[in-house]
Amino acid sequence: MSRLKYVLGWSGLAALLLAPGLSAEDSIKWLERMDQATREQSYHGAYVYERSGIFTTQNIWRQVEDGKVHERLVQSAGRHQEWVRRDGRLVCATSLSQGRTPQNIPQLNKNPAGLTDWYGLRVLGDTRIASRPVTVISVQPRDAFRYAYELYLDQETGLLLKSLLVDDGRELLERFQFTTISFDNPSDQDLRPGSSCLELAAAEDVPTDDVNFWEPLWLPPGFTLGHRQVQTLKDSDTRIATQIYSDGLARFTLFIEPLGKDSLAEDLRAQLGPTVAVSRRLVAADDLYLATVVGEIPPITAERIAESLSQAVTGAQP
Amino acid sequence: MRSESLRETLSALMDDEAEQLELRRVLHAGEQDPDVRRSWERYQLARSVMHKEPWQPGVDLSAGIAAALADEPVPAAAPTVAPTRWKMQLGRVAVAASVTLAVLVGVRMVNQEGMPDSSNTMAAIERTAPAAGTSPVTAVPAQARSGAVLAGFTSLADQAEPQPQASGPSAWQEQRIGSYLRRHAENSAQAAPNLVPYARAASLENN
Repeated sequence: MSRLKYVLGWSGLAALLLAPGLSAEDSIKWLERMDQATREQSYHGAYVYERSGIFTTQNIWRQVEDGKVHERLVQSAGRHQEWVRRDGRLVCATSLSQGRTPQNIPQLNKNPAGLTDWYGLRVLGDTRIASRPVTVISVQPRDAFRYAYELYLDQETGLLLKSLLVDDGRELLERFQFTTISFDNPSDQDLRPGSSCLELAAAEDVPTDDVNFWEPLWLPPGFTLGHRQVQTLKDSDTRIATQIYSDGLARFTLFIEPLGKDSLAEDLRAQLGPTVAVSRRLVAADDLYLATVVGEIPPITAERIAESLSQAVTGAQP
Repeated sequence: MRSESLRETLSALMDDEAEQLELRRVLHAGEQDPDVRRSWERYQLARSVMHKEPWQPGVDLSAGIAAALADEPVPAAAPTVAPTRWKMQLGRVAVAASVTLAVLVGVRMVNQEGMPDSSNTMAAIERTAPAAGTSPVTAVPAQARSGAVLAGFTSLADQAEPQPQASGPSAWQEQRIGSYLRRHAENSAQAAPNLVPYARAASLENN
């Protein structure tokens, strides 16, 4: 076993030394194919999603017609749950927890070639997922501020059939994997929501006046602001400054909301599978705010962003 | 005993396939090696999550298997000393990290109140809190969670317990964090409309 690892390790290294540039170029082409498949491919299939404390199985029907995407997801084990999306936006759901309401967020631009500054890309080889040949792309971070990915792409269509998210301790944080897939166009019948799927009202834009958008002094290299808006939560009219950042692959959201004088908020950190949330209280001009960084980034990254925000606020208003 | 084969035995134990002899081997190894014990706890948690069973962090090798071995000769290293050491270890971690199991399945919250500055904060937390992806339960004090507690379920024992104010985030903030996690998931699903963010967002509805 260890001998095998040794041989594999050295042959892998040799391959890497022989053609590093080529492998990265190939990987970029694969990632571009993946993005294209995400935009254009119709299919139906079943997949599993697993993270700490959760193992779910879902069926999906996806139809792309004239660039319009129509998707229906149905949970296939446990409680019946269903979601219908049009162009990424939730239009109906069997249940929605507080906070998970449709939002008007534009699609963030992707540029796979730009990823190579922050990740080492490599074609690992071929295998099979959902009875289909796939090519495996390794996406390794170049610093400690993001996680590693392994992407399994369908050789014929480029569609992502399996995805692993791994931290720097080689711990698996999340697994997504198709078990069956067919590239036939789903019928209208397949996409029709069930009677328990409740129609959702479109998101309303909240005015942004008087809302403070603070920029953290430190961002992990490669992360840029993709979108900024004001959001509210269902139970309150508190206006929350919401900013979405991405490095082209990983994303985090920065929420800043004003706190009442008697709010019981503390500095804390929460971890949910691959997602971390770090909250910090900020004092700006005698007003108290709660800033929360939420994303699929290592805790240390989220901490540093949140800390730099405190400095930004203190610095701006001494 | 090599740790790889120990893991296999632990796994067999979970499937009720281990022999008496193996039980004793594991019991003995567990006394000497906290890693073995942690593996056992992780398997327990995994099984309880799969079966949606309540999980008791207090149940450990010695306690769980003692009954099975009650009429067997006790191994030389008496299990009276070792369990105490383990419990102390668990308790120490728990006090330092003060972890709360919260509303979302699998969520861990670490109160960072009163932590000095950022560099120290990270070091302290990384040392005491379990790494991402490992069992959250290693940091839960056995005595404080005597009732069955699984993430996602509020135990009556917890509510009845008089908890000092500083021991966990307020109910408001726990809820807020949950809302933010969900909102981020939905934001991401729209910013990058592909299945992984969808599945992530959907997984938050399974409570």
